[in-house]
Amino acid sequence: MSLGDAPLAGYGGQLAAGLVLTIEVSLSSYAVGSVFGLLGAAAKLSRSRTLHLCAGLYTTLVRALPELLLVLLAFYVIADRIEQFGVVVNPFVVAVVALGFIQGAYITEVLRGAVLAIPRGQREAAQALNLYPLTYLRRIVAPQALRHALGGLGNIWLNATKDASLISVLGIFADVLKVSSLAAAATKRYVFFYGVAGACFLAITLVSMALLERLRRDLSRAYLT
Amino acid sequence: MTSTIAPAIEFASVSKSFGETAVLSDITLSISVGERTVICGPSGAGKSTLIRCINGLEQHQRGVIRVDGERLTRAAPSLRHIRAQVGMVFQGFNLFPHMTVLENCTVAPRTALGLTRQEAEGRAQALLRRVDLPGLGGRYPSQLSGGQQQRVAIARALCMQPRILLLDEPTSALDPEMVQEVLDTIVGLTDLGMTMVCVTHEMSFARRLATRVVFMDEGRIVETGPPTELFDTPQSVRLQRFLGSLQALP
Repeated sequence: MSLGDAPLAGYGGQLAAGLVLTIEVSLSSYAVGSVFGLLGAAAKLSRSRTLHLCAGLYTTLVRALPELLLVLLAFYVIADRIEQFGVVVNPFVVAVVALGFIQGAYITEVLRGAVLAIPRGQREAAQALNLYPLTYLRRIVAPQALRHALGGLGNIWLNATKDASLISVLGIFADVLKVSSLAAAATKRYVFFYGVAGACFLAITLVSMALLERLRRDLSRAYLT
Repeated sequence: MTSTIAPAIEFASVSKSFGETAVLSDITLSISVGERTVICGPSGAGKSTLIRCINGLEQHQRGVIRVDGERLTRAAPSLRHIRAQVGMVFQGFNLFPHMTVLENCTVAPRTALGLTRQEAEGRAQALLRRVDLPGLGGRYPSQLSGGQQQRVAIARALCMQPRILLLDEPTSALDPEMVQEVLDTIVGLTDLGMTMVCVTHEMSFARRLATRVVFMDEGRIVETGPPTELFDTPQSVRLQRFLGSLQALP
């Protein structure tokens, strides 16, 4: 045991692995959530009543129910049902999809609002210039919507990093919070180990905020006079 | 009559209403190639709606609109074909705020016309010089005055090399001191020989630009004729009253 590891009472390696897992779960679930969010926003902005209804049901239900309940449902009910068909379900995938599904509902609302905030004249200019619909979405809508959405998306990301620790209730994942509480219980050094967990989340948040701020500045460059 | 050249724009008994309110009532109008038409009239007369029907930004409900002989329908191929020949300048400029001036001018030529970056930028630079904005290609719209923004919008429309240019109250959103530079720019385009249709309240500009003036009121065309004739000897009471109301302004 190295000298630097002594205060961590041998939990250094597990804590590091836990932190990596937390970041992995956060990033993966956020990526999945972005896909759900894009689909949800597209459905909400579409003219189809059926799609509207489906997306409305999705965002209402998911935002109404506690995240923990949804994760438990995914794990003990849905994954279980799927396994009854003889398909082996990877628990990491279940956790990531479940968390992503939850984030997707919030991302849906943020993206919908961001697209609606684009002035109507942008669409008319694109039409008059004969832009292809895909060019319009990619070159005109996406960059402007992203700028409007950035604040909301950043908040959802910060929540995602914290919600990632929900998977610890499933018993098989040793994320940074889980490892910290095990270490705290074993050593009775609660303040220290919960402090370490808190510091890890704070570090993730600070790095995220710095990156978000840089992105915000990039996207706002055109608007500074 | 056997006409060899189809009119640039043709309205045949076109009507449109928003719910109960008729915005365009039985409009019949033929605009020849190269003609410069100014549409004037009190607000709510249907001027903007008329001009926006020409490139399908608004849909008419009855009658037929033909642009360059092609019948305008809601079908995408018809709209694309017509929009390829019709440029538009908006009251609110509608520049893409996240793009530089040069990108604003090249995005459509590069994607919709398939020009290379070099070709599109060459065309854009030439037109930016034409609207008297050389060297501003790297700026963003937010860094320009209203008058400069509208001139970029004009250059952007011209980059698609339209045969018809629609201008929907191009100076109404501008501060007074910037109106003239934009009007002068528009008058300076007449040597391109484009068919132009312009909605405006600037009557002295209408005299300089127009080969024909169309006066509208309550969704109908009331009078039409050359600018001198229409402004100096208005026939209808409504036009006389409209011109009188403009003179009453300070």
